[in-house]
Amino acid sequence: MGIADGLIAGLEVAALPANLLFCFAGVFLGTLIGVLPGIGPATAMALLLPITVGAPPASGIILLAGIYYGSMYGGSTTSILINVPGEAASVMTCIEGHQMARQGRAGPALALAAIGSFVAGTLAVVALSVIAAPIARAAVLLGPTDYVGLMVLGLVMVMVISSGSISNAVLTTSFGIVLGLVGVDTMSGDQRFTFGFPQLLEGVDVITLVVGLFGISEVLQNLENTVVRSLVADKIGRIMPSRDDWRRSRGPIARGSVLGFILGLLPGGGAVLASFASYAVEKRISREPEKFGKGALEGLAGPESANNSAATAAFIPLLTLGIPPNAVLGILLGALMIQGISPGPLMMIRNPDVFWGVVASMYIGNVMLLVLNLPLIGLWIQILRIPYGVLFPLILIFCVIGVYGTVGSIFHLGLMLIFGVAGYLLRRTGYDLAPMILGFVLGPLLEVNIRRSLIASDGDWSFLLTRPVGLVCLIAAALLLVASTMPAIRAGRAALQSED
Amino acid sequence: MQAEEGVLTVEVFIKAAWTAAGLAVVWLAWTLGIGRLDEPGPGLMSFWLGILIAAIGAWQLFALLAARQPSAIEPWTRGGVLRVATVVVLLTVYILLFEVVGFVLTTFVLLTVLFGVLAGIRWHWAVVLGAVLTSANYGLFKMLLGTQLPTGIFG
Repeated sequence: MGIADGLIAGLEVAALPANLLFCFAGVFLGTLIGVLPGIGPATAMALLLPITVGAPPASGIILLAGIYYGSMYGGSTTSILINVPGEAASVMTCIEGHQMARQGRAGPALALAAIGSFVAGTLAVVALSVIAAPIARAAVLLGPTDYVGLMVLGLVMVMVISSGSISNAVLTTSFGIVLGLVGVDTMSGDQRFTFGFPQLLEGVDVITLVVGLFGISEVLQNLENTVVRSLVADKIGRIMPSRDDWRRSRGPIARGSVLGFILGLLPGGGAVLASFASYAVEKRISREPEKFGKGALEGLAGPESANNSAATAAFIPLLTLGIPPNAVLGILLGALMIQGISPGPLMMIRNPDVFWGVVASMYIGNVMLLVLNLPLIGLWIQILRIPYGVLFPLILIFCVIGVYGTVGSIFHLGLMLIFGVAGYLLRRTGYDLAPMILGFVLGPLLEVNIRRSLIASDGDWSFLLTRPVGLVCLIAAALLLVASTMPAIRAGRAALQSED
Repeated sequence: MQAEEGVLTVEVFIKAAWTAAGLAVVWLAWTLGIGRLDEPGPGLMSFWLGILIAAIGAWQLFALLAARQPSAIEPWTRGGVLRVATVVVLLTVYILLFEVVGFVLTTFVLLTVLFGVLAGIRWHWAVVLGAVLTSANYGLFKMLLGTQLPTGIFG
């Protein structure tokens, strides 16, 4: 199926009334989640994952994808109006966006964030539509060794850009992989780490783990730290940017779109990295770098475009290689697997309705988001006024319903609580949980590919050096690990963490 | 100073737990069988990961004890710990009674207590809010989406 045929078929799927509803629900909830500080897209997807189990595969994935890219839009509202990032990729928006709001320019700041997000998101979907098919065709030629290299590179990238120390990230990633290996070994039939519990024979349930680690632990952490919010909602004024604003933001939006797309493609890359990189680029090439930190429009438009572009580009490694580049898309991979779909080079052939349906829904979703985020800005401001004391009990109930509704056992609810408390303690002591989720999702695939390759090569480890793609990825992963221990890079990571 | 000691204790506990978890993984993987390189067993990968976890955990523990001060982690506050502990205890009780008593009653009680105790909402409003949100959740998930939820004593 060609690109044009695929897109037409995808639009037929995405335009079905039920799928339009799922798309709207996804982008609406994504915006809501982005707006509400203390609930990230990973938590939201974890909570809604059970609902998608009963839905047709394309509809479920359209909903979850909408939450992810929708949260990128919503995050800017909170950053601009209350100086708290609605999600991690909006950290840079706080710096310039909130300063603009304090100067009485909240309206143009919100408008430029939404328009930049729309332009970048749409351009990224166009690029995704064009390059996904060639990448998938090339990926058919990849062997288990290449996949080992790609997965190792993805895991190392996530470790390097995660908050906390590298050694902490290695710990959480390794433990995530071990958790992923719980259950019956598909190659030998042996039970691994089940401790006699029949509920663990099929492995640790992905929903239970994610809801515990993200949903419960995030609530516990937010309960401990009561954040004081300063809502700048009475100074929004005129929404539409001036002619000068348009002129100044064109370049940053274009550069952010391209940079975000490239960084989003990388294993381990994603919206957070893209927004930081875009901010750094805009500041470096600006003729007035001294204005950065004081409401520079370029520092808002660039990162906002970059994070949306990267969020869309990140779907490419997931859909064409079956490798999620970050924890949030790791959850999406879990959702696809629950639906019996294996993302990878053959997904376009085996499940064209899901692949092209999701891609086409992104065009529609971006238009919906523009409407949701500009004319309906008043609604989001009202939602920002809801106290966390009212929200968190509801989130807890959603967590319980999410897990029980899918697996129907008290055992898993207990497991969810254990993961929640452990996740809270780990977050509290400087451990980022994103690498654990990625390790959990990629661990079983990585293990099977390594064992198969070892058997095929008669136990000779040099199989890792025999395939060019795998070899390049492994070398890149090793260089990244070494580089991350260098003083300059460590200082950069520390700066990133202090911003976070 | 007391707060710093508290953080140090929790950090020591976490690092020690990593070391213990790593060692447990090594032992369990060994009992599963690590096989040979040309015939890798089901425990091979976990065995090496366990060694990595135990080694890094032990190294972090040693570094922490040698420095005798916690890393840059904000100290716990009495109020914060109390709020977290309250929620964990309430959730534990909620989960234990969930199937026995049923979704409606347990959820109503949990929501009301959380609103009343932790959100500081007046009790009569907490009861109303608890009842409204329990009904809304039941209507949305059980009746509209068909999610399985226990009926308990009302079954």
